Amino acid sequence: MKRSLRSWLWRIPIDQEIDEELALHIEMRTRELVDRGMDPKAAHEAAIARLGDIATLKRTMSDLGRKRDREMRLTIWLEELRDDLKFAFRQLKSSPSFTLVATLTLALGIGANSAIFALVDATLLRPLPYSAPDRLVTIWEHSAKTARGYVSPLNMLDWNTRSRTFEKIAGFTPAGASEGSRSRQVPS
Amino acid sequence: MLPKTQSALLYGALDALILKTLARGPRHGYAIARSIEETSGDAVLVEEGSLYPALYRLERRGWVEAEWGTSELGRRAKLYRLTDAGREQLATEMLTWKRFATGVSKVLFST
Repeated sequence: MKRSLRSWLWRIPIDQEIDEELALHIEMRTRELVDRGMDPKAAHEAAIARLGDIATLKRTMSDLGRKRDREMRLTIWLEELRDDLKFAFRQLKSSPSFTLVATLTLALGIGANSAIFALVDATLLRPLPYSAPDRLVTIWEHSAKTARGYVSPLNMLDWNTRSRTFEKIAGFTPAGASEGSRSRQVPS
Repeated sequence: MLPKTQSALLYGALDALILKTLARGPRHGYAIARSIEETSGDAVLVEEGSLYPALYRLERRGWVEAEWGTSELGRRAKLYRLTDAGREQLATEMLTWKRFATGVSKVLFST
């Protein structure tokens, strides 16, 4: 694995790789033909002719080479990932107290986050569990002392009887819900 | 120019011939071709148009591995080397070839 990794790092662009490889081949073949007594120029031409259709050959090689490189990159990526995971695991194993603190920190952080989100989701994000939540309002009593004062129960009953603005009015006290006179339930 | 013969026969066997040649040690493309030609007594001629695509295919399958070395000319050369997987593949290919050749011979020389 070490060797293939190194040869990977030393890799040159695929087209250059092919050109160099074929150039060396032509040169070696030319020498061989010259050694057999051929004229150098004719030998060189013969060596090139033996390659056949060079454009097609180069295209085939570069297609295959590109696929090879892509797969090699993936393999190396997976190998590195595996090594990183192994390393991380070993580090965690060698310092259990750090692992414990880190795990607890993460657990508490994630737990707190989920809890707060659950609260926000239930109170702010989700619509109220009534049939027409957008038509539901809270009524306060306005006075010189406060803009949002508690309503006296009798006022609430009067409003419920006379008001035409609201379909129904119901009330609740911090201790629990009371009911309006027309309806025995919270409007639904 | 060298005559080109038997390329059709060679096609299926080329991978096996390359693997076998590399089993004797790392070589560059030309040396693989020469080695096959010499060992076969020039009965088998390796076409460059098949050799290099075959080498790239074998490299992609992980049966051979390429690295930059130095050629006889002192130039940078791409050397191919047989991997362990390639060695296993060679054994398989040899067995397949043996069976095939035996079968063909049985038919051709039957009386």
